Amino acid sequence: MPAGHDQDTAAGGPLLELRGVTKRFGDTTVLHPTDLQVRRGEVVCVIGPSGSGKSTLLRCVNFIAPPSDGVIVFDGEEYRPPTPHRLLPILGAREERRLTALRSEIGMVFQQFNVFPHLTARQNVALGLRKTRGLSRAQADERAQAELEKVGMGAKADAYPERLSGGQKQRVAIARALALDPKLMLFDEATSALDPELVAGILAIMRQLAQDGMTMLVVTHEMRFAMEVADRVIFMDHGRIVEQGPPAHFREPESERTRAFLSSILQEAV
Amino acid sequence: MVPVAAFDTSVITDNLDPLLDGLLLTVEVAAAGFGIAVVLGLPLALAGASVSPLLRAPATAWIALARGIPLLVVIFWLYYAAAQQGLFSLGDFSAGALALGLTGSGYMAEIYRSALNAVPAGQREAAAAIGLSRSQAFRLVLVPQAARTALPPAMNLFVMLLKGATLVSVIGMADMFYVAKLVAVNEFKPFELYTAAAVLIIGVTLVAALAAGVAERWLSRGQR
Amino acid sequence: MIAGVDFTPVWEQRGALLSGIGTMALISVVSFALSIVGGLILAGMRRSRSVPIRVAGFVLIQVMRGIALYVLLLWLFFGLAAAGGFQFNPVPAGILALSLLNSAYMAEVFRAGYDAVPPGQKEAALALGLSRWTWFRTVHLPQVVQVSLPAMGNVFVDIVKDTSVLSVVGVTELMRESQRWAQFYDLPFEFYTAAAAIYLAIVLVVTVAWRRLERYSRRHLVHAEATPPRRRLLFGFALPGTR
Repeated sequence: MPAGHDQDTAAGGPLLELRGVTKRFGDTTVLHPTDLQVRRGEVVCVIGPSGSGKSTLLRCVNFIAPPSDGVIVFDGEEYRPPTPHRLLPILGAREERRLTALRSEIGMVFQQFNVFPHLTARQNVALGLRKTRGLSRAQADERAQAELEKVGMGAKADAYPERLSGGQKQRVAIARALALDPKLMLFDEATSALDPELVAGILAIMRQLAQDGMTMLVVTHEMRFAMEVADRVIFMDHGRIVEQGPPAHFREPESERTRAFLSSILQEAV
Repeated sequence: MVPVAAFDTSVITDNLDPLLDGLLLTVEVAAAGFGIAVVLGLPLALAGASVSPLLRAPATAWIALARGIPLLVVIFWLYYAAAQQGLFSLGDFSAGALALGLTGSGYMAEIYRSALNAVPAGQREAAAAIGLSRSQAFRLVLVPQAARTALPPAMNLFVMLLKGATLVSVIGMADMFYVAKLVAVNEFKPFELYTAAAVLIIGVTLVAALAAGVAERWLSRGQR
Repeated sequence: MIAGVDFTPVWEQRGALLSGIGTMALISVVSFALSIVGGLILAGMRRSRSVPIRVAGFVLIQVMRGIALYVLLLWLFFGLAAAGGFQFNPVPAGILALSLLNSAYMAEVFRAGYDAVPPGQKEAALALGLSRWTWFRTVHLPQVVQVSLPAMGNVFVDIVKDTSVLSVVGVTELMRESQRWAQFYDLPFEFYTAAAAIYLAIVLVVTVAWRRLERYSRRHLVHAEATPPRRRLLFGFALPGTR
């Protein structure tokens, strides 16, 4: 299981640490300097209104949207924002290779699934195995099939995404991420684009993953999931962490903004 | 006005073989030019979209030249002007194919650019998230998807180059119009021969244009 | 190699080249105007309620898009004229050929523009009690024109470039003058390089001027600033279709 290769390192030590991570687009700051630690095996849920910087935070972690400032420590290695080489982008190749390696250690699941439409479900999962893990086509296909079985998609391995429902696409996307044995999984509103009846299946997979000891950083609107599964919940608003603590803490949150947000969410649920 | 009754088909059927050989030459020069455009267009599109002004500026200039100078001028320049200065000396076929290729490259770059832009940003993100390098993401994820979008406009470009290829006879390539002119002079049947030549080339372009339209409809069907 | 380049003859013949540019400009503008008229007619045929007219419009557009200008000119000047025993006057015949072929492109431009206007605009106008004609004139046409302007600019640029093909039937435009003097002095490099530069400059000027016109046509739009920024590429607009 994915948790397996963390056993030799001290369980419970920090796997991920963000120090002063900031993201600016031009003049607007979407993520103010943010500090955050995630321990091995910890499940952290990030909640907050849309536009609060949750997704940006997630995208900074694996440098899909490189932070403008700050340091990210992952598994003992430090990563800083890459220097922009506008004139000769080739100069950034070394830094880029290091970030590529980082990304292959971190799985990510997107709101819009982002499965590759030109590849079958199996090829979607096998692609990363072949290209970043160096598996042969046969090995990769075999492993991909096994990963698809785990998320209940074994029978659809040869289907192209356009033949799959949203829930099925998301299962493929999860298998694609898990196949690389990531040390950390990022979920960016993984159920927000799904029809209501398909949400539960995806949440069940995520819950199982948490129970198996996967370290997870989950941006979600599913409060009940957060309350049940998370070791820690973070509330963000206007690009800052407003409040954090164990789920129980959020039954009686301190901040007025948190309270307002939670009550609006609960009203929606009713 | 036009003496329809006197339309002499025998002069066409008698000379059909050389006419068709000439037609084939036109298609070949267009295909060669298209090949050059397809190959040149991609680096041009990438350089044009680069963050680096060192790549962007020459690509922009190239595209401006390719799209701003009439094909006929490019053909003459490559065939007569370059040779006069001893830069290089090309045969009629090579000069024609190169002119079509250079002109086409500016259009092809634009086709690649918009096709690559049409791939949703999430695809790039997902490719990065599974640890693909930029060039891997480009080759394995972006290009296969962009190719579908690029195919119909690329086929339209081929039709444009096919029509442009008829111009190569002005520097003496023995294409269909060249043959038609020779036979017309000898037998004094210009109306029949030029009409036949025109109908033949229009037939080819129409088939290519129809194929582009069919490809467009066929490809837009499966997409999400 | 390049050492022997001598542009003085080009400068000496500037009068001839300028007159060639004048002819080109005249032919371009007239052909463009006629193409707009032809394009409107063809686009109207495509939207006609009568099936035969619609089909005729479709066939005409498809066939004209399949015809190369050079082929049409050869057929007119060396085929048709010989068969009829008459001679074409090169300038009007060239304008006719350019206008015919570009009408088909213009029709496609207008059709796309027509489709781009949301149907709610028509419903809103009719709900206000405007007559169909008033709706078409005051609400619809301005929007169609505005949506179509960039693609119309492409057609204009193509017409300008295509005037060079008229040189093969003896229209004394820029290319013909360049050819003549290139042969006279035996300096093809100088004259064809000059011709390429002049065409490029004219196309650039037309492109920039057309951008201005587009911006002017959008001046009343509050969100004019918000329209996506134009590409850096000078010739960045989309292909008008089959050329």
